[in-house]
Amino acid sequence: MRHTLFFRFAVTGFATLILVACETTNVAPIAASERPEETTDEAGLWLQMDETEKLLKSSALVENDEALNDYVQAVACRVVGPDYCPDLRVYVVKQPFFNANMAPNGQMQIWTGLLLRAENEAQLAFVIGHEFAHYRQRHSLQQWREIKNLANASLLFSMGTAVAGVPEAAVLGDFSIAARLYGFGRDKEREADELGFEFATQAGYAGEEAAAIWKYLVSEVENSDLERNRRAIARASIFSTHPVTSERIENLEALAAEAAQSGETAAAAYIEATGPFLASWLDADLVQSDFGKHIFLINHLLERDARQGVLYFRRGEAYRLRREEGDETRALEDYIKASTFEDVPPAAWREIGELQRRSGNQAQALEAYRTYLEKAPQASDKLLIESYVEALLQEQS
Amino acid sequence: MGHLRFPVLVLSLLMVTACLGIEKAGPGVFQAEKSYQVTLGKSWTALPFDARTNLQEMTIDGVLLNVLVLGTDISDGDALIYSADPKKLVPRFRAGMTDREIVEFLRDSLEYNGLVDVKISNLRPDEFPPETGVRFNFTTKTQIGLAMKGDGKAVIFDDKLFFLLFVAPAEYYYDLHADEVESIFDSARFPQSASG
Ligand SMILES: [Zn+2]
Repeated sequence: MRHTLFFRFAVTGFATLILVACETTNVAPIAASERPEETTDEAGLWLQMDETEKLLKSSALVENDEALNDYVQAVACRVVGPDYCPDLRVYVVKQPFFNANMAPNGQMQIWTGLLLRAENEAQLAFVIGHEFAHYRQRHSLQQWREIKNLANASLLFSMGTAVAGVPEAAVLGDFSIAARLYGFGRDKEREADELGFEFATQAGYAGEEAAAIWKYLVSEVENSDLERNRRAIARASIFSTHPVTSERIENLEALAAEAAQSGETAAAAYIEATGPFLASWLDADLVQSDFGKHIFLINHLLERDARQGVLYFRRGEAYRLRREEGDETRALEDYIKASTFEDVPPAAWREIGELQRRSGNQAQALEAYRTYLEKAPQASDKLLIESYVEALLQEQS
Repeated sequence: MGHLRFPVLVLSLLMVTACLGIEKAGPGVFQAEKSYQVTLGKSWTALPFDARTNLQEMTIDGVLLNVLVLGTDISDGDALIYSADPKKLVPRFRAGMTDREIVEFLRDSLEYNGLVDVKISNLRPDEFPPETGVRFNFTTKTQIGLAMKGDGKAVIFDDKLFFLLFVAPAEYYYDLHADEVESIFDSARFPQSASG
């Protein structure tokens, strides 16, 4: 295979061990602060996970923002309770896909694409509850024992060790390979759903939110630009390792109906904690270039979220890059709309300037560019925009 | 992280590519495929031109320690990321992009492929004779957490995109050939103007 710069940094990798899968065996749940006996296969499994965790810790993919980490860890502790809380280490991982996973040693990854799509704290709580259930029920250990009995176990081993020595190996794992080889069954997923539901509702969260997040995800993927995505759901998403089936959604809805007691969604706290990241998470999502999915997501956020300046600006960005018939007009409308809100990013004026210049409206372009430079005096593209202003002034005179 | 690990890796990478025809380039004028030319002050190792992506890489010490990427003749709808599936959703170059959008496209392509936190700075107009293009700097990190620094230069010529990117670890290696890279970037021009 020819290596190029662009290829070399690609997300490839191993870490299949992190994944949990889904068949019931007779392993007792792990107790709070319990550690495996040194001589057991479980201890070996933990040791390997400790190694990948070191890799993850030093990785640039881990979001280090203290406030956000404190918030997510606090939600996790509320869900799992004070006894298990110290056993759980939650990492916020900068990846634009909807995903979460749980290693048997207590390392949990929550990807930013999930935080972007969860509507409230209750939805995050259910995901954490589901992942924690995999941990508490020792699903990874069960999986590990099952794999070792498979003929292709040696293949998995060699893949893992070969890639582990290479610095560029992704710290995250290739979920599609894992899903294909492991064949995630529905028993463990159902158990994780049911326990996760129990943990989250006992912690006081609204039961309806468990099914709600999955229903939203299905509808988002139905709006993908790629038919293949619409049918098979994106690679590296939670879908491949935790398959979303209508059966699971129905099951969660039934649990919510039975539970009957009302809990909180904690939407305001969630929006406050994630608000500072909304723009950059949407930016990262747009890099994936699935405009249909992306615009559907923004429309969904627009319905419930006060951060309208950011959201209209980001939708304008999506139209600008999509470039379908009428998108230029849509983009301009969104940038102008965004500029009426207090939380508008300064770049909205730059884009208004660009579009006005393109339409030959020099005066409006000049005014917008100047507003941009005023509001973003440290902008990385200041010199470039100043050269546009210069050119416009020359054209005018 | 020590430096020891890299040479070993680079060596193995170069051995892999040796059979594909790596060549020495420079010192002197180097004519990029279907494209502009640059003047190299030092001796570089040029990896084969990749006709699927229109990218060519060159390095002095090994591609992980310093890599100069020459991108040439990128047309409307082209991506810098090769995929067997032409419909794959990836960042694509579109004719009529502004200088700023071109830099955004390059950033998106790097991020799409797993570089983390690509931060562009100091965008400025820059001569790319016979046109005026755009220059910029950037910082980024590899997924394992190695801090990198880079430079970029791009221009639209005949509705096609042409660019240069240089990336190296921020510690030591970026500065090692900084003057050489600066003069290569400054030397970039299309042949008809070079002779005229
Ligand atoms: Zn699961």
